[in-house]
Amino acid sequence: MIISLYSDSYGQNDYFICPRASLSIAELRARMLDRAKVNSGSYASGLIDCLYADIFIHSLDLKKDYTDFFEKEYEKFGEYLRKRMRFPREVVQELQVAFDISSAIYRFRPRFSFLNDEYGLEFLTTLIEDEPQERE
Amino acid sequence: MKIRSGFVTNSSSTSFLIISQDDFDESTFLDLMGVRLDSPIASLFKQLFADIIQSSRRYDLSRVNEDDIGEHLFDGDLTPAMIERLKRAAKQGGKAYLGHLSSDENLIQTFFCTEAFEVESEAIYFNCLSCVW
Repeated sequence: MIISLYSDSYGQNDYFICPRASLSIAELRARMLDRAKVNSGSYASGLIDCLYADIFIHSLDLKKDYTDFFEKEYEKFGEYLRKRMRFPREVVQELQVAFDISSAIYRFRPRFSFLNDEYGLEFLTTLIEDEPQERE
Repeated sequence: MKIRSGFVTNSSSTSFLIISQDDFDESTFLDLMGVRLDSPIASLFKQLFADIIQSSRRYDLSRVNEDDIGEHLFDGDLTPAMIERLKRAAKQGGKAYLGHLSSDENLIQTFFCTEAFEVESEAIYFNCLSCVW
């Protein structure tokens, strides 16, 4: 599951990447590179590798952050999202659903400009989603 | 005193140099960058290729006097290493494309204005190192 949040005044999207399967980050990296259909060692391969690291290494895993550090302070995950992260109510509702069915919830703020808008969501879905949706 | 509220935006541009043995096409470019035709990222690089062709000036190096390179031709942004490459290519009669991308144009160019890279295959040399983002 990938949830998009059009967040700031610069028009920058946030994404919440919520893999369901308990894949290691090495397996997630292999999945992204495989689905990206880029040649090993190429510029494009390096680009996908950077994207993988941005999401699965450098982004905050909200689920882990909550269970490791804030579970005693906030009784429910939704409360942590509302009061600590200050997310809008509609996103909190979606993330609460994701909490029960996802192995992690990465809050990803893309630095690549082309990852905004519909193209960005479609691109990330193709590369990361457990069951990629068919392109129209 | 005037006080302005709001935010300031910066635009940026990056210069590039491409040297090829022959005129190069979209599929050769995708191959250089390591993108397969059925890749979900292919559309991004196809747009980049179109922007490169549109925003660059093409030189037939077989018609260029080697001694002019770096003096009357291609002066300005090029490093000594790039000039040396152009001189070598001129001996073999290759083609050169010199241009720049601008972050004001579209999201694809904005992205590549934040990148600095150099890629090379047997047929093409692509230098996009003059990024000052």
